[in-house]
Amino acid sequence: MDFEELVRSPLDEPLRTSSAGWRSMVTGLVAGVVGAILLISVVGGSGDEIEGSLPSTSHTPTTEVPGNTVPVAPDYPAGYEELAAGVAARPSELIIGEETITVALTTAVKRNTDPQAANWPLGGVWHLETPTGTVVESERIILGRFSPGAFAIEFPSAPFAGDTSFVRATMVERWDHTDISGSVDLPFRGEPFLASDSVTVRLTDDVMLTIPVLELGRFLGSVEWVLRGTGDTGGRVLVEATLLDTLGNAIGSYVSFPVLLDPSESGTIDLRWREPFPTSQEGAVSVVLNYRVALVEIVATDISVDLAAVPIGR
Amino acid sequence: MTSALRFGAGLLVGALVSGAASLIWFGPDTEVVAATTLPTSITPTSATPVAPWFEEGEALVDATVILPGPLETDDGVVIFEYELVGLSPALVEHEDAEHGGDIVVLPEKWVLTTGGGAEVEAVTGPRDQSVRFELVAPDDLIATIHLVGWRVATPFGDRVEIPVESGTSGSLRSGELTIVTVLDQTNSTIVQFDFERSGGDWEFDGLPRPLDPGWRLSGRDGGFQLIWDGDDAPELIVLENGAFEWRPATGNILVLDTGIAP
Repeated sequence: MDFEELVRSPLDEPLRTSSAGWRSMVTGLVAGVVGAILLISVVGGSGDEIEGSLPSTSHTPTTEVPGNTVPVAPDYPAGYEELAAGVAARPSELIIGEETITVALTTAVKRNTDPQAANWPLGGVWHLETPTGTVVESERIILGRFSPGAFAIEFPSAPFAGDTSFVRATMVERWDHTDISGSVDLPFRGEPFLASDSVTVRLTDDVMLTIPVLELGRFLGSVEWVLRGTGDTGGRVLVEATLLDTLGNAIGSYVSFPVLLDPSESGTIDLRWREPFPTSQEGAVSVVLNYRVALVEIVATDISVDLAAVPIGR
Repeated sequence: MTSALRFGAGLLVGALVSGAASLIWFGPDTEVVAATTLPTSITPTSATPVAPWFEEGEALVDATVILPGPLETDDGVVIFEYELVGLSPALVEHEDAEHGGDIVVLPEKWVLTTGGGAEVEAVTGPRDQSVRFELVAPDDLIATIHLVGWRVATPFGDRVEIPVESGTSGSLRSGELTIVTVLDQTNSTIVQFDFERSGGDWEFDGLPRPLDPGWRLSGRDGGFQLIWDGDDAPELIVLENGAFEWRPATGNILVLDTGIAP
């Protein structure tokens, strides 16, 4: 297979768009009209002016209001547990491997919130628990490269016999984060590009980001990064490098993806050329390095997802 | 603008317009219309087993919504188009604001039930946006379409150890990684890899990366390569991979009901 196929996903192509938004607007318009009329009818008139009895419905869940029953839509799809404000998760499968046990989860944003503005990704420390109370701690959190709405918690399988069942996974520590974004302009010195000088950026009064190595090859690149001043907590770093020509036009860009969510004080991230393939750096005279640093704050939590009815795979 | 924002904008505009119209229409002393007819307009009249996420009639599978599209029948061949909208958080803002959230479910197995009760199965792939059924009798009426199998996005960690020798290989979840060539240069060692996928359309490997930061990763035609600067390259390479699979799941989700009883 060629390199393009190696890193491509079925969802890389922008094949899905929705026309639901405009229908939602029309629905909202109708609801607004009806709601306003109802409000004016109720508020504007006295009790004597309202005649007849109001019909009720039997939908659940419901919220009782005087004289009526209004259905309340759930915040999340069925079975989802809220991990943090606006984001919930549900286990889709428990996968038993030779060395690891993987709890796979999908996520959902709160109803009527923008998925593109969600506080994601969120890592943490999880505990996996058996019916007899044996608990093991997670080793790492893996984000779905081809679908970042999915993530997996990896546990060591060594403490458990092959036929062990599991009742729940509990997030005992959540890695909340504050994102800081910015950009640095660098001269482009030819292919393969290797930045000659270390780049240092002040993120806050206390925290500095240093990029000692930036390399951009034809298909791939890499960035080494160091965070200073975060204490023991650390963070995560994402980078996008865009090549510009003499007129300031973008020739192409390299992007990174946070496969592992564990915070650190230093690391190396891979960059890959954003499609389409093949590519060329010809004509590039400068590089704009956009960075996004997630400064992690550890928060104690006690949020469980039920595993008793989750399918088990191999 | 997202659906939620559009809904909100519609709600606000509708309320303002109707509020203003009501003041003009009713006036301060106008008799208020009887309320008996109003509440039925804002409460659903059917007992929907699962609350529709966007609008009634749309099917929710995990955190992905299936939007029914056109249904066309031609000489016993039924084409049912659909769109997917993700409710999962997106990592990046798409230029197309209608893109919505991330999609964590892809449809795979479908069943069409005819008015006569016959069931017709069909299968779709990861890139499809329509499903094709072939009716046994071309004149059959269509009663319902259910989704009975789908794939759920599932990431994995994966790790493989490979001795630095030409021809050696190691297995990943969805394929075989082979060292094609080891090039000993004056001041470096270049190890070129090929990756032979064994998985189908539903399995993907990310780009394996070496655990030892001394190895530099770069692409090449037909695969990738690792470069070790210096003459002390390790004899063993440990590669870690962010693997990814669309794992099968089953259920019975009503996607389309034409109102014709089977």
